[in-house]
Amino acid sequence: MDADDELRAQAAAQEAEIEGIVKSRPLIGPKARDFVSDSEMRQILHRKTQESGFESLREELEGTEAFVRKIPSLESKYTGIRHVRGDGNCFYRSFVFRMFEVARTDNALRTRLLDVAREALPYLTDVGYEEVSIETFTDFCVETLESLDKLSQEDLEVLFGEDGESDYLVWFGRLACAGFLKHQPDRFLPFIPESFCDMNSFCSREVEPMGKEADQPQVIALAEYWQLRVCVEYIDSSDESTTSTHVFGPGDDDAPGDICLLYRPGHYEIIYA
Amino acid sequence: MPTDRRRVKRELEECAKDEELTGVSVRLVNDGDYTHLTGKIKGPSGTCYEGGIFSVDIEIPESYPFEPPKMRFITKIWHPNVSSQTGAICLDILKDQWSPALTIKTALVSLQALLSAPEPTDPQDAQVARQYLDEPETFQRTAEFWTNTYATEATEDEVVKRICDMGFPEDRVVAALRETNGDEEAALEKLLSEA
Repeated sequence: MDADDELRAQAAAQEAEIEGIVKSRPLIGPKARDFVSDSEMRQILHRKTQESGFESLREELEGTEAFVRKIPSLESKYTGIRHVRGDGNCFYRSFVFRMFEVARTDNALRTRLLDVAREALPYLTDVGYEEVSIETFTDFCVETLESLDKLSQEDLEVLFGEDGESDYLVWFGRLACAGFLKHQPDRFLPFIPESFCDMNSFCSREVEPMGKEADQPQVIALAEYWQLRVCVEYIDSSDESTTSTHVFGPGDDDAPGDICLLYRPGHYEIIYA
Repeated sequence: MPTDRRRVKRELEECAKDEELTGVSVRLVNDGDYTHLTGKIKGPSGTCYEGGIFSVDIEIPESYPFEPPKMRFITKIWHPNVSSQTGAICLDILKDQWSPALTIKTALVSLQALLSAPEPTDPQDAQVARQYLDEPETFQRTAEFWTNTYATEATEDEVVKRICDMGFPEDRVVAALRETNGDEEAALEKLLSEA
């Protein structure tokens, strides 16, 4: 084995180890118990139940003061958090799960989403997708929305907690996002890396393959495709003491988000107002 | 519940519609088994693969279409991105650039494009890649020789005629070839065993 082979073997072992760690986390975690302001109470709760609330976030971010400093501002606006596996699909998984979760109990929204989903096939073949490769995804999204009011919250969590069927819904998120970008290439091209000469090559490299992280154009595209207001709280290493809020999709400036997400560099999770 | 079996079946039907045009085709290895296929790629004209028909072994993994189909050249081929020993292929869309938006047909068409435009900087076969870069003429000659030696398949009519000439009735020859997926030797063995 020469030095190159050895390096490659080391890199492969490291990759396998990281993959193992990533896969040991649930795709969709339990929803955190509502935020308890008394810090002592929080600690007791955390010790007793290991619930993944902001306490677990605090633990994860421990040591990076600039991040931890912003957690109280988050706690003042949100009651809970749901951790999502950091496998590169976290934005799409968070968005799609939360969309189904909201629509499960909101019939008007469910009807609205169904209208969009039923138009998905022609919308997508219009920008070059082949029916044969996408129809299973559009069909399954429509079927799931149709039967959504008959699912319990637990059913939904089980569905999204397992690989397999939920991947069809998560990847449909990628597809819808790519379709939206391809319908408006002139609007989005200035915001994608220059190394991509057109929207098709950007989508086939950065949006369509599973495991590729989402940037701002993808967030805007998915929010506007479904006509949902998405509120993203950014927690980063800035000097500020609060998270910064970015809102995408339709609606007045001060309207609450249909979907709220927490973003820290490289990872999205669901937060609950 | 979505199933990939239905999708693979649909993909085969779609691919069959324009195989004349695309120069790629795909068949089941065994009837009713949608996990194991054979693809055929026509060597692109104007390249050292022209005139060749290249067979590709295709395995459909359980998690298809989230995982790419596993493809490997069965026909020996001299190409920087294909192992001259094992037929293993180095192509990004068969690895981390795969997505469910792609199909078996698009993968075969991409392989065909790879035959037209090798990528020697990301080789599968280092020896072939070195020759491609350092001795382009030798490369061209070797690749053509391999194409002529390993990748020229007689057309179906020619095969039927050849076996008929050995004294078998045409309808039985055609049936035997169909059952063996066009494998001339296997068809002949079958006919002999039935005789």
